[in-house]
Amino acid sequence: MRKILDGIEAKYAEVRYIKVLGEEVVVKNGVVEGVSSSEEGGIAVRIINEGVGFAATNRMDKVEDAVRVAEKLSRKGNGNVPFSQEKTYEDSWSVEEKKKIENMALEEKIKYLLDIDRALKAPMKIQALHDKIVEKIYMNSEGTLIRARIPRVEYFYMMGVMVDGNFEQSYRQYGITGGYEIFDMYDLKGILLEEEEALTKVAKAKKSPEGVFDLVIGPEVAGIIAHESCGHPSEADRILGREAAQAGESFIEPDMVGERIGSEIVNVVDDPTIEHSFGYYRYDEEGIPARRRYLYKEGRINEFLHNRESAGKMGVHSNAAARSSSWNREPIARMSTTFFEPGDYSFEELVEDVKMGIYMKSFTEWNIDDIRYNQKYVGREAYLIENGEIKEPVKRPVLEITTPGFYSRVDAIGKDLEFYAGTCGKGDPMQGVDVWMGGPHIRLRNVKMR
Amino acid sequence: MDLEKLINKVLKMDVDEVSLILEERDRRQVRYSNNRIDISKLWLQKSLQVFLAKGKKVFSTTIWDVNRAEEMIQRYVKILGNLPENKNFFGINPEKQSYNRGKMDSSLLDMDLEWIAREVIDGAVEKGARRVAGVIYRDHVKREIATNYNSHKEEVAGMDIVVRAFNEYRNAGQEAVTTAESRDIENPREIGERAGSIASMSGNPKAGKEGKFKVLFHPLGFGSLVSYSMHLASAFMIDSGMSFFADKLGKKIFSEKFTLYDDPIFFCSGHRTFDEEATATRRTPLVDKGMVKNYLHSYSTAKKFDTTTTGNAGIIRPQPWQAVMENGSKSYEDLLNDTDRGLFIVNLWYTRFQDYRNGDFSTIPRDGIFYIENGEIKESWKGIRVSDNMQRIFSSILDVSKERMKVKWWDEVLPSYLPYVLVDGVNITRSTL
Repeated sequence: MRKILDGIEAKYAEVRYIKVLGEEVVVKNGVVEGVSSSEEGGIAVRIINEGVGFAATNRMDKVEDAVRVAEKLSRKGNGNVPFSQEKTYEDSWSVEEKKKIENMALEEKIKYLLDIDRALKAPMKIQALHDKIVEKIYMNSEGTLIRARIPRVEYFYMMGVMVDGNFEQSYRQYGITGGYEIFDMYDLKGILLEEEEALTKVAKAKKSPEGVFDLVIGPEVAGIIAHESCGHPSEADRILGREAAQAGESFIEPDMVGERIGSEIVNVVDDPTIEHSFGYYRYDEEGIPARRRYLYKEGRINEFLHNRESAGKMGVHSNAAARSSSWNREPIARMSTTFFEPGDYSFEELVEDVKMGIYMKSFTEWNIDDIRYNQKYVGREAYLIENGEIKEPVKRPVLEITTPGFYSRVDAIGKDLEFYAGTCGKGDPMQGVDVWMGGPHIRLRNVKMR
Repeated sequence: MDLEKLINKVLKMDVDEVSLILEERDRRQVRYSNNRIDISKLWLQKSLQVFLAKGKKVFSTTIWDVNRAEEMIQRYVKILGNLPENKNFFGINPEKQSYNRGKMDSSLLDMDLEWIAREVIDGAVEKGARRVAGVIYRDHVKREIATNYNSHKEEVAGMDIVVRAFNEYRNAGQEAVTTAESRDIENPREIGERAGSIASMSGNPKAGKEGKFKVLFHPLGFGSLVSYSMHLASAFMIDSGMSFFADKLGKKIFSEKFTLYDDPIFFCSGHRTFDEEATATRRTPLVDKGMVKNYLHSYSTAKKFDTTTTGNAGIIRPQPWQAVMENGSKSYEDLLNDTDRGLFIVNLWYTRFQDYRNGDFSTIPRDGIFYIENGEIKESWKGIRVSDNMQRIFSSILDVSKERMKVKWWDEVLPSYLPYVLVDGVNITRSTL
């Protein structure tokens, strides 16, 4: 890699080698549908001169050609490419697997999934268990050299129940950076059995009423909201328009730091350094040390997520948000673990002074516009709240609200905290990266529900 | 790599059936935003896709270090022997295939992507856009397959031009053109002009209103609905029960005006001549004048469903290749005139289902939302959402245009050749706070 770097004529150049060993098992309705294994690796260069050139190849006989083309492409630009000036680092880091991926036999993985499948009565169920070990070497022309070894395990399910012709569905992802201690951290069979019971109750329930209600959301809902309407609009490349034709832009303008977005008790952070978190990293994909970022602080827009390109354009330093999903992708500004910081309310305290409300414990359909302003969340498991008590389940309550509308109606935040895993999509070609999102239970006053 | 030699070696190992796909890919991209090129990229990739079966035991992988293919396959064959049976697997296609002739327009390979990007940007700016963003792709793939029963090669190339143009109010217009023919993109400036014109026409949008509206969908917007639906027409999803197409085969549940094919024979960027088990691809009607005619099948899923393969392997999980809809007899202008009170929607994104089984979903219009009164575009809207049911949408198609466009966008829209589509009674919602 050093030889490649030394042979490049450029204002800036970097080389990245990534190798991923992975295995996946898919079980559908009691049948092991597929087992796959992969050993994927390749090398990528990014070169800056008058423009930016990028080339990636898994063909060792083509590395020289790829580098030459990237160098040529970097000269096709017609201007100065701002790139933030950063310190250089030389380090190696890895994440411990308490239960090593390599020691988990394929038969055990299959048995684990089939055991869950057999415990469920739901007629429609798909499960996938995926593990991977990522090894990376990153090197740039300024002297940074980072080596990393990152194990990750994730579990995904999709389930549908039918009660008297009424259908309800659920799909969720659980993931950690680490090994098969994931099975100790989450009682997945117990979680799915609870979920099946909840779906069955909801399938028999009446449609959630329309009107203005107080709303208590669960950690799963808080997580997706933190991710979609705080994390994404805080990505500096969106704010600058670089993702405009794909994942979109942001309602946040570069000069909006300090502007109020919600009530004073709202703090949303993005933190790649949380132990075991699915998007954990110690250095980002540009060799910058990771740290916690306060995106919304005390109800105000506070900090954006930067890679070196966006930081350079805004005249600030990178805060280590550069991630690339694979050896053949460029590093762009991404989230890691995005969540509402907890407050000091117990769940009982959140509910006790709600006269007429809805408790949206989890969600199913959701979406948000491409500037991250208008969003919709449909409850999956949900209940009525009457005079401070959780009452009967209700079917699919709909919250359709703007970003400031949501954050400004938050009046109390729970002291609990839970995280859920996800695969965040952005970039072109698409880059799905592993993330956590979460929060505590949160209460909003007077929101329109359908 | 000699694929024929390799498969002969693999067949001497402890396996019954094998599919090997060797793919060599040379792909270029230019991404641009704020009227300038951000990055130019190149990918040079070679991979070997492997499917192994012993009886009903199956294993799949993609090998990226093809020089180690034999050694790695030996390792995977050992894993295969210890796997449980997949009772849904009924073998890979043993029938001798006769393939359509593959086509490639080689002149796509010599195109200057940076020049195209500049032309597109200039075209949009000329029509009044303030900011222009987008992506240009050129893909060139050499693909070779060998199974126990068949072997074939193909070489394909395609190009995508995506442009999103913004006016002074940050309102956007978009074009997302895909093709396998250089003649379609002789004048890239004109593609930029079209996006720029939509952006300019959008002006300063008003907050949209809720209610039921006739909606005239641009081919790009309707392509999003069709693409999500085609994935749900895969026999894998039907078998799981998580699809609104389940139990609908042979039933006329959609509008008479709706005929949809998976058509990889059509010469566009989704063109291919064989699937992942070397079955020759074909044009498969999924919906014929409102009737659900077929699901997407591999040989194995077809056996389970007591039918024949449609050439859409993924052996375990069949997949769509390219969406093509029949066109109608009226022009886009005629359909606009047929709209007394409605909307013209250019693009959709973030389509999500709350109920895969019945098709309840919502999606967000973008890149041009226009309110129509008495056949004329009156004003531009923002901030709305389509909250509806996919079966209801497809059953409420009033008409489709005679013009069709080749569209493809990001991960939302498959390579598609689609008309403008007029749908009755589309439910529009919006944020209330």
